[in-house]
Amino acid sequence: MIKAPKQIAKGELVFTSFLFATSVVVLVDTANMIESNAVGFVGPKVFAFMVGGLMFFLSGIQLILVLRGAKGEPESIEAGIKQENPNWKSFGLVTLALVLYASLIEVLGFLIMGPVLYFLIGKAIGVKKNKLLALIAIVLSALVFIGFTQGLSLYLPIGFDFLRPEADPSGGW
Amino acid sequence: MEFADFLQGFAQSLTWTNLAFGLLGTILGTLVGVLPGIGPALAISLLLPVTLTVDPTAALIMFAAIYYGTMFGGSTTSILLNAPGESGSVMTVLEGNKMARKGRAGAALATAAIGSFVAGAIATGIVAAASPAIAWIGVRMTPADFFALMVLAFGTVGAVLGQSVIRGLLSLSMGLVIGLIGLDLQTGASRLTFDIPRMTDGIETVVLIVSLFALGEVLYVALYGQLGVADRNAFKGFATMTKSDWKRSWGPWLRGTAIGFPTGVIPAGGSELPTFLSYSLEKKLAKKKHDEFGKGAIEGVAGPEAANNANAAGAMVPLLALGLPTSATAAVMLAAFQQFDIQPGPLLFTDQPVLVWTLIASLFIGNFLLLVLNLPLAGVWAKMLLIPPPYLYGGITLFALVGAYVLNGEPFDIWVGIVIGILGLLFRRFGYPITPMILGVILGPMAEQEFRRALQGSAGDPSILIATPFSLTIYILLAIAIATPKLYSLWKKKQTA
Repeated sequence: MIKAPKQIAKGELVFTSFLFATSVVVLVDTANMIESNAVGFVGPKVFAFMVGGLMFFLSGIQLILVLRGAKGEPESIEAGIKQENPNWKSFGLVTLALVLYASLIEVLGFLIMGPVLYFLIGKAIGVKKNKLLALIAIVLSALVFIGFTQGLSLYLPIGFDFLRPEADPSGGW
Repeated sequence: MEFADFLQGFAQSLTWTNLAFGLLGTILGTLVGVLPGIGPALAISLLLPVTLTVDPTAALIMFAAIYYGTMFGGSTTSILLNAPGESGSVMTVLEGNKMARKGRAGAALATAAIGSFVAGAIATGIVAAASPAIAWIGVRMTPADFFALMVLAFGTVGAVLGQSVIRGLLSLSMGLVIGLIGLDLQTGASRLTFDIPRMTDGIETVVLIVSLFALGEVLYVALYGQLGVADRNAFKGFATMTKSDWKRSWGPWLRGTAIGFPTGVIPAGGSELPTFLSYSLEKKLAKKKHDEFGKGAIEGVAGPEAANNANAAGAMVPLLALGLPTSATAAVMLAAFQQFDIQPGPLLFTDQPVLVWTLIASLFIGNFLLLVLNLPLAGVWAKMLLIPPPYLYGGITLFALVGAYVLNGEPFDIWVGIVIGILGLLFRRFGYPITPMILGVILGPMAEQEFRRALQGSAGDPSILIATPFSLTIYILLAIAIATPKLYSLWKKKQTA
């Protein structure tokens, strides 16, 4: 259900503006697209214009609705309760964990970054027992690493290529 | 031809390796279904990379088992924890949890498991019977007809799901935009790549799905969640039913199947509606006999659980026969098929009949394994509920990011995943449904292909899009599907005023 409070929801306005801006980007990108001559009757622009146009129209209407006070109901949380006030500390820690993982996965390898990711996410979400969390982080990451690299023959980096300048550049299993 | 193909499909499925994968799928599916925050769509997408190097038949059997397994896991959570593991189990909570509180958890779990099996078996039987007929129609359909069907799926899923039609459709259009990213397959023109070479391949479907569901959920829980340990009803041993439970359950199972299957075939927006309808029907019927509703009526578990499973199996008809997913889980299943270069649709029935029947046989096998495994293991699954939720989210994130990385072995996909995860968080925060976006990403490129084929055939004349009675009927149905809820709520308002 949509509530209609008198105040404009600022976050909602920013998000709807982002959707509107996305539609503008799609339309501009499509207009600037270089089409080859051999596209037949319908080239790659037509559908992209339709999609961009649809989003432009819908986000335009939504912007007006938000400016008139429309507000979406946030989703509930299955394993707990949803709090009114955002917990920026937890969110920051999860974001840090994700960014560290993406930045360092190939430098330090999965066997280090996997446990770091699990541990930081666990801390952010509210685990108190550090030793148990660290133990699970190491065991789970090791199992995932062995399962994927040995069991499924899929590549996960072992990292530390900088210590082995002569090593094979692919550097993993 | 069909019966011989059907037997061959079954024979192909029944190898030790395939059965082992089916068993693994059942265990994994039930396990993740029991755990909070993971529904069938996320479970399959998290496990997609696991099957990258596995034989397609084994992988598909595993997915079928996961598909049914997650749903049974969801009912376990509903009955023992008073929290639905996934949306199709919401109605099960009402009576199932009350039964558990009265010490009848075993009967509730058994009627859920057996009801799911009965419904799954009947519904899969109908899938086997109906799919070739629908595929026969499919072969005769024009590109414009296919385009109309996809627009129907877009319209109904976009408009039915979510808090408002506009939010659902905006979610859909975001998915369509993401589907545009990359090189146009027919002409090589690049769209929305912003001169980033890696973007020319587009965004991997698996990266998108795991990021939207898993990373989006983890970020949302971190920002707004307060996780706690819910009250748990104890349960040990086997899940069994008494003679009277059997007597009271079979009717609801059959009625639930009858309600769930058709609502799965049409894109009616998931399993909430059929489970609700089944619950209401059983409640009405029970007034004449055992009116235990509100105090733990077994009919209130048996009906919705059967409806939920029949609904899931019903979604296989448009997916297999027309290549058209009507739910998020079916969309992920389509991505799983595409991973093995299998394009479901009418041509699959003529080109690779044995493969189709192997798929259908794998649904039967997955369903059967689930029953065999879950009645004795219900007590073990109940123990899983003791795992505190905070420990799970690290594991979900780890699996999601490993899945994103192993596809191409590049951190680029992890970065893309993080950006999409933030988008998933924002969608949750501002009340936008996720499913239409997934459908947009997966079906968008297919819809464009059919659209362009249709217009190439008519030398650019757009009237071709409504030239056949089929496409015209579909557009009329779409208009009805979108207008009916609006008109109904207006009528209801008038009634109450």
